[in-house]
Amino acid sequence: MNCLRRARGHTAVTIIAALLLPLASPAAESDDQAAAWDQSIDVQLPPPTRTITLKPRTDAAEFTDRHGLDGARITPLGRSAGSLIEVPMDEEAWALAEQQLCGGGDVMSCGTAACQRIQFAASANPGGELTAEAIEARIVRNPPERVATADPSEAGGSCQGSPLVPPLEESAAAGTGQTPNLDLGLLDSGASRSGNAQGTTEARDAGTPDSSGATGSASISNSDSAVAANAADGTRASSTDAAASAEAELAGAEATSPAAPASKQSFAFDVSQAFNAVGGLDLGSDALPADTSDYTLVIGAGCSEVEIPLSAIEPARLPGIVLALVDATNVTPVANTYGLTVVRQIGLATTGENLVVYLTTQNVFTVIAAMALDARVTGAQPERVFETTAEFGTQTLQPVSSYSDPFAAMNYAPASTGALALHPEAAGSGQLIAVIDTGVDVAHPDLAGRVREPVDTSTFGYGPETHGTAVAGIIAAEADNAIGSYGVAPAAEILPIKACHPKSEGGLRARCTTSSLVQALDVAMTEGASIINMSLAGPPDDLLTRYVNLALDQDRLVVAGAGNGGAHAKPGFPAAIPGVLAVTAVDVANSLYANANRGSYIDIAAPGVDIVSTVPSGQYPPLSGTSMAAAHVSGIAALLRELGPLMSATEVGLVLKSNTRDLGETGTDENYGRGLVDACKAAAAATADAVSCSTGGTHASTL
Amino acid sequence: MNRRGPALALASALAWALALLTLAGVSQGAAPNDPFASSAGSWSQDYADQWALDSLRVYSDAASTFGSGQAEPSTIVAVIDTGVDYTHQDLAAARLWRNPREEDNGYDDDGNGFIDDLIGWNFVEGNNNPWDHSGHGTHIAGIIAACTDNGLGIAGVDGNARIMPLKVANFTGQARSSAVAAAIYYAVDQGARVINLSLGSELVTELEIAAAEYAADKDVLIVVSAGNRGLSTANSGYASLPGVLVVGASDPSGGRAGFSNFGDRLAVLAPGVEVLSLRAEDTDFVGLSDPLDYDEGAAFVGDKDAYYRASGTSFSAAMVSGLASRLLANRPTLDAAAVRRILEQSAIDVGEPGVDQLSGYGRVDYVRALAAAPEDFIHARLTGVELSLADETIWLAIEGRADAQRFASATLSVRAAPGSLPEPDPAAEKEAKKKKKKQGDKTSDPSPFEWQPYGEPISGPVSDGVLANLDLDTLTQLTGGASAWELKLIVADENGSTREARLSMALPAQALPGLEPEVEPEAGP
Repeated sequence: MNCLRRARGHTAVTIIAALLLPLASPAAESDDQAAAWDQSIDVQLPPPTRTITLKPRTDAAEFTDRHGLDGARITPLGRSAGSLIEVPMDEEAWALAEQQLCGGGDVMSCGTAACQRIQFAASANPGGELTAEAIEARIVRNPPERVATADPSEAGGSCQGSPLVPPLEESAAAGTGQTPNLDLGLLDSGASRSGNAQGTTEARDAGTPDSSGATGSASISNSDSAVAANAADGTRASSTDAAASAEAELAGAEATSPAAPASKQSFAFDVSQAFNAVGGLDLGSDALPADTSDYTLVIGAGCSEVEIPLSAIEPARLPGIVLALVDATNVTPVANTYGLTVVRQIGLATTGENLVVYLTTQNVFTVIAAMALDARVTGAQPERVFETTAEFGTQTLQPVSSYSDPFAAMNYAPASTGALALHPEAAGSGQLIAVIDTGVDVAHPDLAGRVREPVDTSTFGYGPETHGTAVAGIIAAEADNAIGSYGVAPAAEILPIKACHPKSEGGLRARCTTSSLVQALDVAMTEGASIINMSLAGPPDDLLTRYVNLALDQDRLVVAGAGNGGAHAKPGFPAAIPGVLAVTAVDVANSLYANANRGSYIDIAAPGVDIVSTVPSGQYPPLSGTSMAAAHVSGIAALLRELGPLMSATEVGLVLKSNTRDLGETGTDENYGRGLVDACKAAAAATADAVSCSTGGTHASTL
Repeated sequence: MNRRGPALALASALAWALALLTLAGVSQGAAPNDPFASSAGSWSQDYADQWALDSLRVYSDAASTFGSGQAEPSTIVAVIDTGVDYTHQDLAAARLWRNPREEDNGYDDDGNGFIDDLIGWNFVEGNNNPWDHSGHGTHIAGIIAACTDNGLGIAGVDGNARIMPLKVANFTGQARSSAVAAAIYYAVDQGARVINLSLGSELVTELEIAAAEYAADKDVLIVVSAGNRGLSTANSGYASLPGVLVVGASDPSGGRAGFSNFGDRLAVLAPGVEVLSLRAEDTDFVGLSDPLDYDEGAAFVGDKDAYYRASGTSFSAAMVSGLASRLLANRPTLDAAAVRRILEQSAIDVGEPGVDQLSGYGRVDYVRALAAAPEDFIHARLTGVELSLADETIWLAIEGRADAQRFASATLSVRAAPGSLPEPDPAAEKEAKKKKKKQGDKTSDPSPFEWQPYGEPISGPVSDGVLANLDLDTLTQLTGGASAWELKLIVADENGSTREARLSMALPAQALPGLEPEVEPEAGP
């Protein structure tokens, strides 16, 4: 994704997006949803892209390291033409960099990337081509996780039959089959900031039929001068002079004008309208993508763009599903009262509660509001959606050494966390780690023999899957068998609980729900796991919180990935539940993983970028995400629990948090929490220095 | 969707009806079985849904076989654009290039610096998934290589081509110039023989110029779109890149589309109005350019809205990329220059006779291209005029190209541009005749609106440069004092074949006193 390039000291435009939900008729719903969507996010647009062309046979990675070019992207330019470094940089920094870097040596040429653009068809307005500086926002459906490929051996290629890769699994949530990729018009700010509907109607004179009171307003406003800009397409919005001037100002601030002040820009847009605007669909607010996990909000400014997963802005839920705690005897009567269909019942052994998954055709929030007053119902809430937090690695140049020994070069993590050095003392034996995830490949040679009978709570059926297998591998892959990678706690035992189901075959993206996670926690507790790893994130959820707290009360350590929503995301749960160890990810250079969530709830950092682990295919693709980082911490926690069997889970958590290597700002910060996990320091603290090891020592000696 | 300007709209019904009559003469004997390849009126228009295939004559009897099987070798066509919806029902993975030296394993197996570049690359986000969030790239890919003869949807211009999707533009259709340059290098190194480049703006950086030179060096043809503003900008932006083939748009009547940019680097026209192709999932890109008169979804066509119609020179370029791809599949030994020459030389003249600024060599035609001999050519092109002052005489350096495989001769002639002179005053006319009679001049003076030889015949071929240096006085005398002219170049070869080129020009009002360096070439309506 690489959406947010961080650059030092630049003055970028900051955009605050407020998502306004249409006011639909049932009060409960509109209150609930509007509250959820009416929020601001800060978006920092990257400065212009500067280009440095290096001469052939110049080591570009070394060059960027040597010159501290943060956020640089390296692209080879042909077999004989050198390589291209692209780095976002504001005028001031670039002026300096040009002086230092562009005077010859390895550098062939320097410049600033121009914005080229697709020329759209002629129109009434011959200048109808997009202006380079315009800002546009859209919600787009995420692409398939893996590309379609034909068999490379097939010479000609046949077109008979269906495409090799089926279209994305239909989002159950959107309920429309057709989901739009469209622009969110940006309008006069006054209307949109106050969230009223008038602005929209004016704006969309020739638009689609508005559904239930769609407030299609969107605006750019400049907080200093209160000017408004229209959409990038230049036509959707009112054509006030102010619009033009704001656009110009945006352009200036974003691009090159040194005089342009770094001003706060805010814009608001209406998602309902956005989802209406393609295909003539008349969607009610219910048809908004309740499961937002398949969509991304993209903000484009010129040829730069910023991407924010929609689920990082608005929590996902499954439409039409109501979760309720109802005694077995009352399940059917309750269903009859509210006109519900029972989808399934989950008996929860730890509490004796009966969790019922109901399906309703009515508005979920209306039903829940009614149930709140019903004595037969202990609790009712929507079925929320959680997602695993990993993606395939994105590095574009591979380490030089990887040809000869790929996994030694890539598997930096156990050494950098000190876990490796602890292995002579502890390898996690006697620890049962519940991996609440997608299915773990129980037959994987790296894991075989140390995996308990797997459990499926996802209702999709158990199977070996990528994410769960990778997480289990990071925690506990066999150390001494020369098969690719090795785990942090290679003697620990894994309890695989499949609560999440992959969205596509072989993919990392997987969806879990409140009910599948609650059931999984129940299983983890009844099976006696000492550590519960949840490499997934989602919205706050009462029921999930209750069961997580139950596990914490039972002296089980719960470790969770902080989330991969990026800097603008809301806190990821269960990581943000107090008591849960919230883990963020760093790369081999201990820099923060670009897509990591930020926030005060983040406890600790661990390696999570381009991590090599086991996957069912027998290959070892580099993976990135807070999922990978959480798994590292779970593994280290297993080592500590082995070393200090008398310590409580809370104490283990505290020891881990207070024995880190500080990263980022001094002390605790919202990016790295307390800093990089340090197994050595923690072990020393836990055992009153009975164990000593050093982190800088041997590397991958067990391979 | 009506993306056409008013002028074009006026031209519509009659002209297109005429076009249908003309096209009816083209046999559909070899037509593929894709339904849209033989249907008409799917959006209530009065011409064929895939009229472009008829116009190009790719599936006429005279064209060679087509097929989606292994009959012909495949050409790799790189589409440097917004990406591709590779899940589209009519663009199976089989139509995509597959990197033969790369596996899906997280490593850079072929050592080219790109990990898992299985089908291309996403230069926007730096990953291997060139997914199309705009729809523009998918439309282009479909024009070139939609699954053909599969009983579904549309036919591509070259159903055997393999598309290499290189995503450089984001969902707003904008691309970093550095990404475009890197994509060109990638395409060349990975074996593309044709690169479709349907984007660009006025500012071109060194990076793209170097990349275009690299492509030219390695014998890769870059096809670029002229642009859609109906202006003389076809010499700027990517049209100015070295070695590229610049394509403008023709309409269903076979004429130039009003929005098609023009200029002296415009090479050919190809269908670019209401072009039917694939719709990428969840996209509707026409709305991006001018949503005022566009209702969302109005351009959707077919079941499941899987197809899409749009106008623009982007799609004309794709037509030519497809033709080039087919030519190369048919005759793999052709080099890029030969493909370009064949497409130009075999084009059907459009508009004013001869090669001109508005329509270049004319409208491309596959049957004629197949029949063309790669070495056989006559180039005639007038690109501009430069003024200079010497010996108190104003000289015009006529620039252009007059060349042929067996060059015989080239002549320039001139006439006053229509409307450039006041209607002759009958009295003055009479007086002039009288005067002539008195002087014993029996030959009647030719009208300034008739062609008259201008200067001596050009003795040898000129491949790109000054054809003749002529003085302005002669010109004004020849044309009765006009200050706007049409210039004509006729190049003949030893076989007696000729090709003609035209250029309209006018003296800018301020040119004479201050002697502005250039005469503005003026182009048409």
